[in-house]
Amino acid sequence: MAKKERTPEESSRDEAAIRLLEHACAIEVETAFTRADAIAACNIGSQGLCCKNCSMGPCRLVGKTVRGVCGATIATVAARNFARAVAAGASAHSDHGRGLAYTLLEAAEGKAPDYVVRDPVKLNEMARYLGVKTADRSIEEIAKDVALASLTEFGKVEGTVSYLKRAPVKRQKIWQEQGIEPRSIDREIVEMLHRTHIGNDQDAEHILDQALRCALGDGWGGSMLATDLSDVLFGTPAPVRSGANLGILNNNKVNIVVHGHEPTLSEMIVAASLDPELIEYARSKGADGIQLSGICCTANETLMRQGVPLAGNFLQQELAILTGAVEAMVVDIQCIMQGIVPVAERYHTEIITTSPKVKITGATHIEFEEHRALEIAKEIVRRAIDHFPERGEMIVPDVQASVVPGFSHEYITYALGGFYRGSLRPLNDAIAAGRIRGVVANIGCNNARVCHDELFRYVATEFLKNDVLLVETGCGAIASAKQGYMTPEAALEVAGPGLREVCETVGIPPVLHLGSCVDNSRILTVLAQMATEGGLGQDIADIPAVGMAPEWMSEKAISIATYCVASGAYVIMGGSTGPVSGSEEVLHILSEVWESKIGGRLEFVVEGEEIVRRSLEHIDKKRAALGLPEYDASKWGKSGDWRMPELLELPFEKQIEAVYGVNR
Amino acid sequence: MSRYIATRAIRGSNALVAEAEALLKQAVEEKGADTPVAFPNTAYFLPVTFGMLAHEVNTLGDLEFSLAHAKKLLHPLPEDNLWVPYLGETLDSGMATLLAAEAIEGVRFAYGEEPTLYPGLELAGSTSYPQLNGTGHLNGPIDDIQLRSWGIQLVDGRMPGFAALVGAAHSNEAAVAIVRELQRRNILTFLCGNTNGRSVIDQLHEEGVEMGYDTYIVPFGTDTISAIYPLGFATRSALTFGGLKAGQWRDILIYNKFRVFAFVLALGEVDDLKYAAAAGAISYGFPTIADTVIPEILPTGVTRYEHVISMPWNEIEAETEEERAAKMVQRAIEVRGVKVKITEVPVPVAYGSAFEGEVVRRADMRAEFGGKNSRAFEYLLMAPMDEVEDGKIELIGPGLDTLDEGGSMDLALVVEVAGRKMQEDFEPVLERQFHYFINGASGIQHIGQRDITWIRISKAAAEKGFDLKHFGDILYARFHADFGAIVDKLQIKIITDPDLHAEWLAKAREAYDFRNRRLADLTDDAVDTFYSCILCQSFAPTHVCVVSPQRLGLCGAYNWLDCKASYEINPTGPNQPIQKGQCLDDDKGYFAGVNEYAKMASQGTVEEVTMYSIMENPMTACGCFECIVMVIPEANGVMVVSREDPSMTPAGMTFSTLAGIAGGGLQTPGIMGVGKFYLTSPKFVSADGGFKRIVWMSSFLKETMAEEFKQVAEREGDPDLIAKIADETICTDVEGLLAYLESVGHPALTMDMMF
Amino acid sequence: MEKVVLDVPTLWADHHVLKVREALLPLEGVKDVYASSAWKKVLVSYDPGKVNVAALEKALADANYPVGEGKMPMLVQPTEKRRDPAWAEMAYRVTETNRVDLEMSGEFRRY
Repeated sequence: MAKKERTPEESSRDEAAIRLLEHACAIEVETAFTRADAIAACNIGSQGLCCKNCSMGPCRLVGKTVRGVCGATIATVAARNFARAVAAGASAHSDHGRGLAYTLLEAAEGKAPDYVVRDPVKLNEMARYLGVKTADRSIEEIAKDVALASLTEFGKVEGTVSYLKRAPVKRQKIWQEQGIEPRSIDREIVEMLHRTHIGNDQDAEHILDQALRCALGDGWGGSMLATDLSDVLFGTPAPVRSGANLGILNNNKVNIVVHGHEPTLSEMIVAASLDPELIEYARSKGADGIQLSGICCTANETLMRQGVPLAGNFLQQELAILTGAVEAMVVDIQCIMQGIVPVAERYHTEIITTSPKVKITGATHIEFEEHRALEIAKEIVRRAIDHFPERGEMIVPDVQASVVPGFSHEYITYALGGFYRGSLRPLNDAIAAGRIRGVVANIGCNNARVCHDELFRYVATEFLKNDVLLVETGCGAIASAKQGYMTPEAALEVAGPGLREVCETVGIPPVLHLGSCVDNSRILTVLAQMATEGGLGQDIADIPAVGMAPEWMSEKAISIATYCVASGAYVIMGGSTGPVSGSEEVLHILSEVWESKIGGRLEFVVEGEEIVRRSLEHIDKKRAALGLPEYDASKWGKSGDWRMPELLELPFEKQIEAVYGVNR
Repeated sequence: MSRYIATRAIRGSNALVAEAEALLKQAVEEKGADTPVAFPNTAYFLPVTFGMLAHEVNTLGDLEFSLAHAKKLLHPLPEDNLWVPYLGETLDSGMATLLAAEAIEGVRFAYGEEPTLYPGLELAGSTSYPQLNGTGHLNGPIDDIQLRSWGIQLVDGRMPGFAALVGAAHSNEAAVAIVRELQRRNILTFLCGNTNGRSVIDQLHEEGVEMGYDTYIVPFGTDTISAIYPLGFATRSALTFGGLKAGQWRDILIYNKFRVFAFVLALGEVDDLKYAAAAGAISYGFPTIADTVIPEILPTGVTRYEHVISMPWNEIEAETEEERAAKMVQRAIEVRGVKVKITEVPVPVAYGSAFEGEVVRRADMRAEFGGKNSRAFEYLLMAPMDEVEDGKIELIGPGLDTLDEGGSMDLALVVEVAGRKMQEDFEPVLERQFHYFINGASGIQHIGQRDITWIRISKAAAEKGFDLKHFGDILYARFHADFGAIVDKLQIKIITDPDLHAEWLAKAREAYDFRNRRLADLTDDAVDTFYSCILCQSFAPTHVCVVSPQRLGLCGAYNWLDCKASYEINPTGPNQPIQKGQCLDDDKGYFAGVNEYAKMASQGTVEEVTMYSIMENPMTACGCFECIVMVIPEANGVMVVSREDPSMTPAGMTFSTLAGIAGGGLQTPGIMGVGKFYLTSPKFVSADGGFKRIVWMSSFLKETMAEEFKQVAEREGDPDLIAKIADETICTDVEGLLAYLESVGHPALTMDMMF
Repeated sequence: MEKVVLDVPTLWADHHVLKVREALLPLEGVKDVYASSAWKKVLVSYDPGKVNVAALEKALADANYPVGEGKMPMLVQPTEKRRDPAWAEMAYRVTETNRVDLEMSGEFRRY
């Protein structure tokens, strides 16, 4: 079924994107948006009913066909497809983590001189969990052992993934009882692929148990290591001020966009872009300087730590090039559309692939090597500068929002009590009292088949109105950043009265940016800490919280959703009926069966209204189960600075008595 | 934090740290880095700095480390727009402020500028400053002696916490009313700061409110910097009673959040430094309540309930200043979550434990009973149910109106008690309460007990309508409220009629005599039940007192009979019967039941405990002991230091320092904290040789317990024994001690070796 | 009798209030002083026949509280993007609930 072509306004809710889509239409450039309109999604595959695991097929289990050639049932096929997506997603995050571990190892051994341990305290914290001795040892020695211990996690011979013990005790027990503790990160991915081979595991529930285990190896293994290792190498994020959306591209500077998922190279490019020599070189080419910006999670990584502004999220990668203002787009891994190459061919923009894992036909490949990282970064920046004089017409929409990101879980506890009293107690208290109704993790990708950012914007607005605190990562976070919800002022303008009180007390935006998509592990850490802090039950499943990916599209999102469910969360995947909609049985397992076994459930919901309705219902249900007071917005909103402006305006003589208030 | 407050607090902290740095630099230049810095009579150096950083400040030079740390805690101001979070940053700045403020007070001490002089002010109990030669002065920091003597009251909840009043109240009436409201609830009132140069201290002084330790009102200083003293007090509470060590900053702060019920009343306009200091207090879990318009911080978490409350004085709905004060204090107490039980006592004067220490001087006296010119006594006896008419209060004989101003007459307070659970043994326990109950009335002074009772009524109290029958009202209300579990009915006779007085006095004396004999018979061997006291576990979680007839609690407040009565009053309370069980060692006092209980109640920290030995598994102590007994090996004996004694001892440590070793619920052979009346017990370290082992004793004890010790000396068969015991006026080192013991022939020198 | 309001930026705490009052009150002709550390201002009621604003300002300047001059010292200045040097310095990296918080938070005053 060929679909009707959408107008730019129907394709995106983002003003900058709309402007550039109009432009693309005018100059007849193809984008993911138009291709989504042109290509109908395979109706059988999209329901999870196509099995192509062997050459007896592919078998399409539709109509009267209820078994494949080998006899596999609809449930088996749907479950296998789902499970393979989990394995692929988990492999992506985990391989990213492994890469960072090797970087740390090389840094510790002095083979990568451009990298140092920037956060030794966090290194010690990691060492504690990984059983690495720290007393009387140099940072390099510890770093080396932490790197080696991290690498061991991927192929552990015995035992289970070490970071599992960061979860609440009750959660660990559930994993034990269900037999889904990942033994090592790689092993569960391999076993997942093995089990879904032709003629192997053919019981949907059993296949999906392994999917849970495989995903846990991602969330509490690969991803969590990736986050921690990044923090050790590049610093643990704390709030910074920056900007978001294509308007940050600078008409007069050399624009370099980093895109992908790893901070390893992009951190070097940040350093290179500050190099006085290169800035001078840029000037010599007629530019005012070098403007770095980011797309996708590389953007989030550099934003959190260095304040590098966001150019946009996943669906804006082609649009950034369409501005004509980008000299180079430097990409590493994951979520890089091949479509950027043909777009770039129409401009002076050079697409530079850097990862040994990623080459794209038509792009320049400059392979990144840790031992001469900065040198390569400088070479890339220099190339970008060389393109500056080739610029043609530019259309940079004057659209950007301010953003205050940088909420590592460590900073969140610090923000709530300072060095001496940091804890999550104020957050738990606020939820228990009802100032904050609950917490929603609003995360995930963009999807060209869903109106760009529409669901993100809608649910964020609704949740804030309802005093729900939002924590975000990935492209969802970029959506909220562009919406202006990641500013502290937003708390005063869009948040409900209770949430506003809390935000005003702490000085935080109502939507917290926790980082890239591997940084969903930060959300797990916060949830675990909330559970152990007390007052909200003893397990992640007890907390009035919901996870969601309203515009998801990648296999990584499936893995994330699965490990969140395995950790006890209620997760909603939005925008479509989901990859297993063809099997009632699998849908039942993902929701009802999983909930009874592990406390979390996974649902697929198309509409934003329904996502919000189900989330609030779940939050209120959990509140009631904890015996917390019913959510009542009318009780809150009295604290804050609101009385002060009036007093400040009075002449001094009047102030003297006016401080005692109005006489009654 | 609100951004308004955060901005000001962060600004104030930056400024104060800068000021402290400049001040210190100047001081080091002028006086040298080695100039000593010390707060008077404390083992905790500068207590906040010591508690948070485990840094001992002894000299000006030592302060540099404190300020360097404070600087690390500073932050830039929140921006006007697109600000980054400020709560954690503000709380850090608050802590920096405290370190800087304490450093400034340290420098002031080095210069002799502390305590603040205040000519004309006479404090009813204060930290002592001999160098001032009696010049009027504010208190400065509370010393360890007072901290410990308030210990048991803080522990058992009689003294729920403290309020730090910073600034000046809206009017003098308001100041007095607020303080009275706090006193009524036995909340310690700490005063500091000023508004436009006027301090709440000035206001209370002008209104003739008596200040000092005895009235629970402590004036620290007239600026906000002196607000560091209340926080030093809080820090030391955690170190003293909580068994925490310096440097356990998180434990100390959380301890205060949950166990020290304190709050700040910001009176008058709030400036940058006051915001900064309030931020410091919030880290301790202490909220701030202001009587002016300031931003409120209502979400909870760092403190237990709201962080900052604004109650603009003119907006409090009330007719009078008193009502406003009552509402404000009430709100403050709710916000802090202080549990306060007030017994409404129907008398025309203010009532509360804070008035217990009040002194009625002869010149202010309306009348007195007992003392030199008349005889007063009190007697409580058990009576059959049907012979007691509950609430009957009779005045038999002439009333107060027949007495001239300053006159004196005989008085008897006879209370007849009936109750299903009442026992004859409880008579003295209840009778001893008269002292506390009657003293609680403002303007009434009660001294002594039994037939040496001495009561004074002040003119002010009499003018307000206080009459003799009000003694009955007080006793009636308090006995029902506090001892309702054993007292079902009581009637009270207030006797001034001479004949009846004489008749009852004879009966009473017979009873006193009987009780004395009963007490003498009441030995550890004669009973099969001891009592535990774990009241102090709220502060020292592993400490267990075992109270036997011949060894009272180390705080001196609970003897065996008290515990027995307490158990009757509250069977699930802190005093539980312990079956002695099999006696494992008669001499040292090992009992199977006691061991078992101690192990259980100390959560396994204490495995075994002896009742009569200091050398082997001695009993643990919390922090509120009256004296410390410590072995002096060279002298083959022990010394006894009382907490009132600030001097050096032959052990080379003062009481304050020793207390750090003796307290905290840990067994340390050779040192223990005891109640002073245990010294007179035949079971006093009897396994190690008993009373004759005492080779050194604070002169304070010798003086205040002269009578009791005389009897003990006779019992020990050496009537001159007390004179043979050295004290701080004789020697404060081992060499001097040995020389003295030799010269007087102290028996310890010839006794068996202790080791 | 006249009144004048003077801005004193370095009057930021109540120990400065005491000093400011000390500087002004002894001047002949000064009737009343309201020194406010909250607003960093001083309201002086004075007899213009005996003292003038210049004299008041001089007295304040001599006491190190110059009118309209100086500011509160800020030891820490914001940086362009990351404003907070203390974050790296104090190194607060906690990933689990503090044991102390849990142990001490129970109901303790049982009696």
